[in-house]
Amino acid sequence: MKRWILYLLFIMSTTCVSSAYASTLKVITTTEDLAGITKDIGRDYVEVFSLSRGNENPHYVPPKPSFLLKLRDADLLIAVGLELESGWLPALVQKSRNPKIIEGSGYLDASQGAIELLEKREKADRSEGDTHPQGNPHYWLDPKNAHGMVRHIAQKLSELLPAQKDYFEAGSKAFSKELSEREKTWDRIAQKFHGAKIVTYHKSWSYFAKRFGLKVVGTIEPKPGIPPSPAHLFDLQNVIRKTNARLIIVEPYFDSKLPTAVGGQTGIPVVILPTSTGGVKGADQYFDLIDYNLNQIQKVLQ
Amino acid sequence: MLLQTLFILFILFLGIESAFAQPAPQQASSIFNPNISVVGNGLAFMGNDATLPNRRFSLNEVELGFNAPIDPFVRGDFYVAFGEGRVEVEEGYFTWLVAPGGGMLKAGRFRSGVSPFNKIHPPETAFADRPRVTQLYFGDEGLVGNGISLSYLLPFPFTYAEWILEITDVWEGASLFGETDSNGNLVAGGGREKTAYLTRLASFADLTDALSISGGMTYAMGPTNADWSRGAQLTGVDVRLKYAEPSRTQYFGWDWKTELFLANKQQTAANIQARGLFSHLELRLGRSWWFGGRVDHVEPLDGSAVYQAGLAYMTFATSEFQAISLQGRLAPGPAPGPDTAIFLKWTVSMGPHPVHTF
Repeated sequence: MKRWILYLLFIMSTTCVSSAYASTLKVITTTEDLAGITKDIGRDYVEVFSLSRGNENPHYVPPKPSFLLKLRDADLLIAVGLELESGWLPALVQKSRNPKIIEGSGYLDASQGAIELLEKREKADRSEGDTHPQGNPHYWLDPKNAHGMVRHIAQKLSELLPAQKDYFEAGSKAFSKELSEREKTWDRIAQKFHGAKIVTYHKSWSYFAKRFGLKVVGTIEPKPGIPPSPAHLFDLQNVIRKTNARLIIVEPYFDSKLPTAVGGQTGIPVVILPTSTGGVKGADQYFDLIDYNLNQIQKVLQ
Repeated sequence: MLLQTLFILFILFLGIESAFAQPAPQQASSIFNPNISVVGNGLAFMGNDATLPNRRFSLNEVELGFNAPIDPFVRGDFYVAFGEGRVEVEEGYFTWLVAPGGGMLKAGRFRSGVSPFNKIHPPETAFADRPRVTQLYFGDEGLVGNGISLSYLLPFPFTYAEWILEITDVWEGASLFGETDSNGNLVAGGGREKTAYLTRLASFADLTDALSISGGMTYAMGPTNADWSRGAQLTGVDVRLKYAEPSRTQYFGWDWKTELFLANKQQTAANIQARGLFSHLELRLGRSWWFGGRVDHVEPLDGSAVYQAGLAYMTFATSEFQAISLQGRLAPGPAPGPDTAIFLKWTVSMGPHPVHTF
């Protein structure tokens, strides 16, 4: 009996010591994009795990009990915010038994670092579908917003591990510098199809389209989260013909059958583009994600 | 001078007017209001099953929910249920999210964690009816009690395991617990003021990114008479296999759940040992379509004949906030032929985004 008590005391003391003197931060993110950016900033001082996969719809992630193990031990939880994860994350956080993320200091809403939010509304109701009154939550697809997110995440990491503040700031600056360099290239690519009209499945591409000069003239979903009806798809075909839309973009987690049928009827191509890193092969990091999407659009529209 | 005075008064008036014209502070009006939601379902029935109501249509149950954090440490959840001719507090509890030692403490009136199905509020289940074993052993509403629940995530690094202890009043409406008369009906107050105990161990594992397995074991005990000289024990086992490909979650998946209960009830006349189970398989075939089936096999607590039935359904959802389900139930009974029941269930949800449960 005495031996068991000593053993338990030993386990408890080692747990306390290891958490008190933790040299790395355990960070859980809701998406692969946030995970990748956090890894790039924190490098040797963060262990990062994303709750959703890049090819998974971030609105509808099955909240597995195994996520609770990750959240229980997390120093920091980073979410996209703007109610993107409102269907699945709050229940997990509540059940995590982790005071750091429940009581606030270990929780970061990355949207607070975003520079520009689109489609904010004063009022909303469900007749508009599964809408997000605080703003469209797919803001990371505009690199301008990524600059703000990076700064915001670096500040939080520094707050939680002050000894590495300079290290995180260096990581943040390096990321932003490369982002600025890449933006020049991306702008050159985007010039080639500036003003092109497109149709998207969901309203995931508002930021990307605005940033790179595309014009979204319609969506396969009649309203966010509402499956398309035959009547809506018929109307959409007329819109495509009238506006000379040139491309239909589909996220990897939506069925491409209906968009393909619409594309076939109207004679425009359908391209599957990831909204998150890891969504397709070749888009494994944030820079690759924007690279991949722009290159695919360029290839299809040429 | 007069003009200057009038000008100053005019400016002051504008200032006063604009001060009054400012909108009322948001904080007091809405920001800190709790989330309010309404979930309800209506039913239409047909068939010769004797358990069906006499009428063809019913507003089965509507639940009004209020949920909000109370402070950084505690949250409150309240659900008021409106049924045909009844209003009751379905649940009303406070949850201390991080209790000492890393546990979670719940106090109030809550649905028992005896099994995963019991935790689901009646309008939100996939079925128009309830599995017979839960009706016969736990009552029409399932096990709901007043008391406390303590749960811990066990400190296994790679496996999710949760231990739950509930100490409550004896669950109202549960014919397994409390005193029953010779017809099997609950005697008012027969042991209900006593305390019941329940403990549960649940576990979960990801087999692949898409496939997972979970299960649990439960043991519950409570009195069957006023002085607890006789009691009842319940052992429950549940298992679940779920498949959902991450990139196809909204289009294809399947979910198989089975719950088995072994009951032992000490009574004046004779002890009763009974067992019952239900098994449920659901297939998602498209963004709006679900197909499912359930089988029931129950030995009733009053010693009557074994009840067996099968239920099949097809559900169409226009969005996450509305679903219509056509269901049929067949129970091979005594002559003259099987008991049949056909249901049309219409479920709606108003308010914040519905919480996805696993």
